[in-house]
Amino acid sequence: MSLLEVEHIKIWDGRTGNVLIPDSSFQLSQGECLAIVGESGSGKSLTCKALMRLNRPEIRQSGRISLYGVDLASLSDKEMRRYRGRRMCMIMQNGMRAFDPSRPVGAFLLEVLSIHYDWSRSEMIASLSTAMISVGLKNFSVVMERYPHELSGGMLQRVMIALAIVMEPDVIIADEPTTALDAVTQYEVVEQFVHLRGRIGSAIVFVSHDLEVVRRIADDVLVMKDGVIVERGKTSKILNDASHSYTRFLVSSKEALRRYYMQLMEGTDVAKG
Amino acid sequence: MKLFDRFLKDRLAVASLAVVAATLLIGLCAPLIAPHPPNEVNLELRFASASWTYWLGNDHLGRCILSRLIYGIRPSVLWVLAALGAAAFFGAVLGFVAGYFRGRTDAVLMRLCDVMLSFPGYVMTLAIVGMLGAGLTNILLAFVVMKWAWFARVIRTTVMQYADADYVNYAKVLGIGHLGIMKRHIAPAALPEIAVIASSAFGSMILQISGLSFLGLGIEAPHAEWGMMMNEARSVMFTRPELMFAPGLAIIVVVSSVNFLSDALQKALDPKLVLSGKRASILNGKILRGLRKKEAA
Amino acid sequence: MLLKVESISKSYRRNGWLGGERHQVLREVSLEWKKGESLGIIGESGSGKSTLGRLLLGIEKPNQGSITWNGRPITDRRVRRGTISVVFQNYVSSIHPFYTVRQALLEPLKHVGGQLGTKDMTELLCQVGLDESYLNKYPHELSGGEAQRVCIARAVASVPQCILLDEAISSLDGSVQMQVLELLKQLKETYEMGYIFITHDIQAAAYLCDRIMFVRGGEIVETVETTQLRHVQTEYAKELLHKVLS
Repeated sequence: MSLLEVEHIKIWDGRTGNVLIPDSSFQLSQGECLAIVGESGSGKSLTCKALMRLNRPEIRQSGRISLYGVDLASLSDKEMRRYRGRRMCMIMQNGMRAFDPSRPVGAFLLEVLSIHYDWSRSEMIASLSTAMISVGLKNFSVVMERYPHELSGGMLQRVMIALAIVMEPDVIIADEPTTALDAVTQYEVVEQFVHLRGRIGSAIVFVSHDLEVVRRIADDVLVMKDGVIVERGKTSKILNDASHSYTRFLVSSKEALRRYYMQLMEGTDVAKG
Repeated sequence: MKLFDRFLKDRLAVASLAVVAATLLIGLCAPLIAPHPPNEVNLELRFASASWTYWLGNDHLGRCILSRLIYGIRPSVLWVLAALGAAAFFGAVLGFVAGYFRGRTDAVLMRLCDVMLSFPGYVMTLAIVGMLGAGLTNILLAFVVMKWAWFARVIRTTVMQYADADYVNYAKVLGIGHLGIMKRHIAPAALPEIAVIASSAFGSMILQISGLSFLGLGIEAPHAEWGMMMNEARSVMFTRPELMFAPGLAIIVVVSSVNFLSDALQKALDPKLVLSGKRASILNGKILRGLRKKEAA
Repeated sequence: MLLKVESISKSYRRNGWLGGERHQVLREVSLEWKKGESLGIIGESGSGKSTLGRLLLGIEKPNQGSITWNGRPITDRRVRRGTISVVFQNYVSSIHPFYTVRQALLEPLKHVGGQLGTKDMTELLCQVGLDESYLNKYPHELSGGEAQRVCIARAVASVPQCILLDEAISSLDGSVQMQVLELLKQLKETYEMGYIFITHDIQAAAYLCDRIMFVRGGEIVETVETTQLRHVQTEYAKELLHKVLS
């Protein structure tokens, strides 16, 4: 059964009339991971934020977004707020910009939980600590007391994932979560996402421009260019045998680099150029 | 310039600019515009009401109120502007040095500013006037002493934001000297903000000098000054209210215009609108939107 | 012609200068860079590589040790002129917001006494894949890839001995990254320029650099010729290289 159905979303700039995304439709089932790939300016982030209705006020949207049959676009702001966090969680690219900079991370997390749940403080701390330990943040109490700027990007991503684990939403939208991280941390955060899929049955929408990450985590892929979905399909098909020329272009863009590196590491003679 | 065009579209801004400019101009050309000498005493015309020769009537010493109003622009507005300029200049120099060099220099200068700022403004002014005696120059000196520390602090913050930017780092790598960087890289970016700060301080300084003159601590008689004119009209406040109205209204109009102008300037320089990419893109990395996550929750 | 780093250490005080702990960012780091060489410095975030970059550029002073260029200290402004240039990660804020591209390209030359006519500037822009129409644009009118290419053109304009690239391509799209790397490789051959390429992307560094240095926790863990990359000794380097492979 489709968990999330997006039908004919159109996004445009209210001030200039510029159409950013003419017509996008896709769907997601429970437990599935859909990756949206494309270069900057392709409209991936706009689409994600449109699902949560979090675009800037000048950005208008139309179309149907139904979560378990309920059209999110028709909800009032107040009702939408109850959906966000509880039913739909968003994990953002830049951890430091996602958290309130003036408060320790812990205080913020507890507040979020208290808005959506009626648990006691000790219950909240208990579930948060379990979640954090499972994402690899062992010094739970230390992390809770730190301010966002005192934690590294990777740690902040893990905190956001831990929050998603506790909230157990129906849909998790991850907007370029690994882009701002270095290679090693990227690897670890992607591992966390893979585990997340196993633990809770949420559907995941994973936006990225890094195809290697997509390869590891996604079931299906949507390729976007200039606001339009140019191709969609199973991950293996898209990455190995794409139909659209743009997709092939994306897949091969760092091919030369990868090949060179493989040759270096495998010890075959490296051809110049 | 884009800035100018948007500024001109705001009618209130244009009106206030016109008022302020006119005021300054009239004050500068006072001898040419004023119908009568401001200090000319004509006791037979004591408290005369408006007439064709004396458009606003005469005060308790028979002096022409209109002329006094016009000459009053000089101390009330023009000299205040000069004091503002001096305070802003000293503050800017110190603010730039502190914000750019940081470290110990910054710490020492800021502690100095803190000391100056810990004295309440009016008390400080009164103390200085008390020590040096009343008079225009002493009051203006007091203003400069009072305000430079405030300017230094605010300008320092602005400079700090830009001194960290990558384009400044790049200039440093190139080997451009500190003075060159401050002049060409930081000043142009910081100047608009300094203009806004200065214009917002202008209004309050005009009020202060008028206030002090009203209390009798300002400019000495017989010089014309709006606050003092109001003080002199106090005794006949109920019988001849118009003697208070003229200077009072003048103060209200000029200060309001200055404040509207300052607001308009601030709106015109709003990073989200005008320098839509320029400033926003530098500061973008520093503007944290923690509220978004809260909304997402 | 060389850059010599002798045992530099750098620490920062947290929480103001009257108290707070000292956070050691670099510990006794030494390295050498020769003319025309392309050196990669690989490290994760927090490894101290960015601080190392700033010290190498002379815009910050180490607490201990020295950095010299042909024997003269790099913190001396005059030494830096014409010798070293830089491309930062944040391309948009790297260009003076009130400068046009033309003015930005001219900036490095003012101090080396060079001249750059419109024809030369156009050629420079063409080499980085842009064209003449960009000369009068402002930084905020450029896209990420375009701005970064302007920064590279600018760095090349004065033909320095060495260009330091501090995570210069990490925030670009994949295809643009590839273009920029190709460009850098080409420029290296044309101008005999050396690079110091600070990044966390090993594949990119392997592509561009002759020598790779692994940094971790403020120390140099290992240095290896790129051709010998598969023969790294330390556990850390091995782990890093294999994480990328998987």
